[in-house]
Amino acid sequence: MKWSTVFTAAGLIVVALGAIVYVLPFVFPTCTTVRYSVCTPSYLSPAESFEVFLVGLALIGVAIVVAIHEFEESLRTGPPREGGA
Amino acid sequence: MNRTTPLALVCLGVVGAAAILALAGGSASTPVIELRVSTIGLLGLAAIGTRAARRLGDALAPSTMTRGSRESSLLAFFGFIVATGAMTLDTLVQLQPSFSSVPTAWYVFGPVLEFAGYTMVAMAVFAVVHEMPRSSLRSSVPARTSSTQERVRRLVLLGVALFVMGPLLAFTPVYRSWGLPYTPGLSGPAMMGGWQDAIFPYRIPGILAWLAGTSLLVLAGLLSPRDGRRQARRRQTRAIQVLLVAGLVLAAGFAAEVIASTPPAYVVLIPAGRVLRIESSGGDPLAYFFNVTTTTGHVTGSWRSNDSIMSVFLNGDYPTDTRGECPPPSPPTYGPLAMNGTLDEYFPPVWHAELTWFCAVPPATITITTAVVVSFT
Repeated sequence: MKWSTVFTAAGLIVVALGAIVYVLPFVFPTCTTVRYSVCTPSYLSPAESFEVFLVGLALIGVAIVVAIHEFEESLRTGPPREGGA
Repeated sequence: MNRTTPLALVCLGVVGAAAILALAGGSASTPVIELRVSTIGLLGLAAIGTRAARRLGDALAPSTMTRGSRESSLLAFFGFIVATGAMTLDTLVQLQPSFSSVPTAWYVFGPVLEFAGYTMVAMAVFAVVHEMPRSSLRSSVPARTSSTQERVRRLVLLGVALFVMGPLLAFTPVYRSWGLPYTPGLSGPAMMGGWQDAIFPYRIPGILAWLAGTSLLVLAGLLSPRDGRRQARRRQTRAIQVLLVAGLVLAAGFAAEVIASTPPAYVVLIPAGRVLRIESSGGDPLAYFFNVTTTTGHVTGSWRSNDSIMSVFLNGDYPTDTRGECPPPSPPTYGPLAMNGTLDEYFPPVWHAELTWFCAVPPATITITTAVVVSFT
């Protein structure tokens, strides 16, 4: 498996994770009472979940750079031949 | 291995480290600085990607790479420097103890400078991608681009600039309000008066820029001399249909956002009887600002979330603090807080506004981008 594929898969997973933790507080609010003293939000804040999202984007960015590099290498070395040398 | 892969991994490390720092800080603080460091890492990745793509273009067809493509690396690097410099200066300014004495002009020109850097990087990336297929065609590439192609290229670059700058400018007031102390006297776009200062009216220029950029991109795609008249008409019809859907989604989203951003009145009762009434006057989800009526009169305070406990900070009760933000009150002074209201009121309307933004803008962006792609292919 190529490194670019690994980075892309990891990036997509992390982006999805960031989106999920971002949406969670809206879908399932943790505050079940209006008394602040017992209201304990356990999810990440929007800014923090956005950070997770950014890490996913960075992984995809690295995947693009690595994919370009791999393509450049394949141009230099040529396509792999079947059955070996 | 060339230098691009290690540099990309360094940028990934920067973004990852910022995220770890932000998550380790807990929800008591808003990770403004960490977000900026992440953005710098992403910008670095974009600049490195541009360089890698240009190198690939050179390797594919060195004689046919145009001047615009060669300049893109420089543009990406310059954009990275401008955006990073603006972000660093802005962060340093915010860390000053006398934050409220910062010249008001900075709150307008700082983000514009920052987003100009983003736009340069985006334009460089797009320029390289735009040039790539042409350079990879080797012998079939004309030595000089035709005037129509040159016009299309300029339209594309201008369109990308507006397309990127628009949402960034529209989002600026919100971005700038994260985690900043409330500073009375400052209001208007790109200032930290809170979400209520940042709602729809101040987003109009950014939205218009975005729509103008989109229109230019679609126009560039339609003008692109690639096929016959019948195919061009088919592309035009498809692009217009997709744009209409995008416009409807966007209009619905912004309408919902305007409705959701209308501030309600909050009533908070404190058993000790010192605070009589707290009404919302703006703020973001982590630092919501209130007009507080107490037994001693009307004061302005801010209400910040601090992990599991919401604390009310009252300026009037802490005369030594002049910045509008005070240390958390001790529990014996105020006691546990209770609020008359529903769960829906517990989450301020800004949450709904943000949810609307999240639900409406990405689909609209996807459909608009699809329209652009459809107009080109």
